[in-house]
Amino acid sequence: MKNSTVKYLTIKVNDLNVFYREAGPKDAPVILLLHGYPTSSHMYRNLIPILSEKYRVIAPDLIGFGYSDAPHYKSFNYTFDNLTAYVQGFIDQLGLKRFAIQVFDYGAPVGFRLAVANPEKITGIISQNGNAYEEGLSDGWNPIQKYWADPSQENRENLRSMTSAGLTQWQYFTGVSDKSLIAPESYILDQYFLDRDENAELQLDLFKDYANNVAMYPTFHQYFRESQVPFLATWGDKDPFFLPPGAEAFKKDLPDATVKFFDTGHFALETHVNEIGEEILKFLETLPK
Amino acid sequence: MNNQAIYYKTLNVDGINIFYREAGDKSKPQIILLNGVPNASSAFQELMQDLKDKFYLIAPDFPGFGNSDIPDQSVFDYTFHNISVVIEKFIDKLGLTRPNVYALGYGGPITFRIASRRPELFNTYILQNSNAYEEGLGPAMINAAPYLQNRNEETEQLVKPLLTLDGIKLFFLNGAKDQSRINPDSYQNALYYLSRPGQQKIQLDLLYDYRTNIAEYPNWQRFLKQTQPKLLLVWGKNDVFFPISAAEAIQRDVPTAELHVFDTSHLALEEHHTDIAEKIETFLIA
Repeated sequence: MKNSTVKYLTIKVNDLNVFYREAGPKDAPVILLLHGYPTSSHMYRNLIPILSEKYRVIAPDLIGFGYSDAPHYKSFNYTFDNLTAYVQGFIDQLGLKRFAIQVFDYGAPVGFRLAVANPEKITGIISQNGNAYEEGLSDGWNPIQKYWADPSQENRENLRSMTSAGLTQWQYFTGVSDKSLIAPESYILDQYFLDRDENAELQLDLFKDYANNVAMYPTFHQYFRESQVPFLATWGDKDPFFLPPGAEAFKKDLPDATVKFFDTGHFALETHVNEIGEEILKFLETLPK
Repeated sequence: MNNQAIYYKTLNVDGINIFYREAGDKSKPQIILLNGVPNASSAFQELMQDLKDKFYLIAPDFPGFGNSDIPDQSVFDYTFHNISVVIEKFIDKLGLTRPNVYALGYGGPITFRIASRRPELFNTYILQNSNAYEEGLGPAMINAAPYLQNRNEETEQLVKPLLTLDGIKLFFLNGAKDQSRINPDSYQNALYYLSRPGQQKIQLDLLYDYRTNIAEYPNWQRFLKQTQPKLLLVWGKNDVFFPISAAEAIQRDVPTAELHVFDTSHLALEEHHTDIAEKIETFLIA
């Protein structure tokens, strides 16, 4: 039987509460799980018990997401730099010296920034639909790119429907062949958080700042080339946002990278957690302790 | 079927779409898992993960609960009797044969009502923090007693807080040994479902109907005494609704009942699903 004892904890980082899930032996190698939009560490609820038999698994909620503090968008500058600063503060507070990272969606630009700043700490990277190459961006990004080019209120308003219940469900079901695999609590909990007072505004701020992630792609590539960090991509090949060429592209800078595709959508862990968990365990076995 | 997965499906029973979670291989021993407030079938999510390699597991949401349809009150009276009829038909329509039943909270009255009508339907009974005895009513139920005896605006105030976040936390946290083991998703999700339009009236009507369960208790006690079913009792002993006295009363009438006590709340699965899964495996397979 799996060791599925998970702790639900909160730690103060600077001025804000960061919520996180933790499981597994305290002295085991650490894997840090960094979630995406519009979810939280909740997306790792089924992966954590698989990894925690052999690893210490830590999954924080980014600022503005899940159960971490979500300061008002006018009093906090919602940028990926700032989200990363709180994850940096989080790993410093927990005293994490060496760890692997698993990154998904928004977790990728946060995790890659963290790796650039702390290359000595990172033992390996797993990206699940966590992009770092322009060829991975689908046409679905067009309205967001329009907002980057012209940050007008009109272009901002055009993106608001992306935070609606309909679109949240769409993200979960698109590309999924067996829809009965999607747990309703996934999109319902995400929407509960998005519907909180003015949470949509901070999400719109982050859509805008995503341009800075694309601007940092060359920096990420340089880090990949110089570090040759062990790398595994596990990718839902029917993701409407991040296309399979984005997964293959990691090999340009990391020739030894392993790239595995799964017949599913953006939230690949909702349908393929056992298969992806197995790949991650195999990969983690190969890393230095 | 991919035995590693949990499936989320619906089945239409008398025009009502009943949502259910399904896991495991149909040829394995069957368990139907029944729960009501506050978190419906999602209470069993982790237990199903634990047991899905060895059992065929089905966990429906009652009409009006979770992801099942919420029939309008003009066409469906939210009573324990009516819900038990829908769930009985659900079991038949799904083709379950001699399933074992796991009953938690409101799942108990539903189970006893079905079993009273069809004593042969269930193979064995796993009861968790569910009740059939006056002495099994804990402080939170005693607090609600004036409402069950005489429903009016004043007595409603005694039970309305149960539908707020603080009230829902009572089920999860009151009596829990280590609060950091309680997944906040569980009570946030429960709050979402219980906050939907119309839910307050439905839940208050159903809670008021709990008085019909208390009236049935003597019949269920007679059923237990006369049939001496194979029983596993797994209990969160600090439950404020149905504390350990509820389990001890059952054991008095069914002395072969196996009792396992856990130092936790009403929703004992939150802290102890792996322990309870082991007890179930031993009970049903060993």
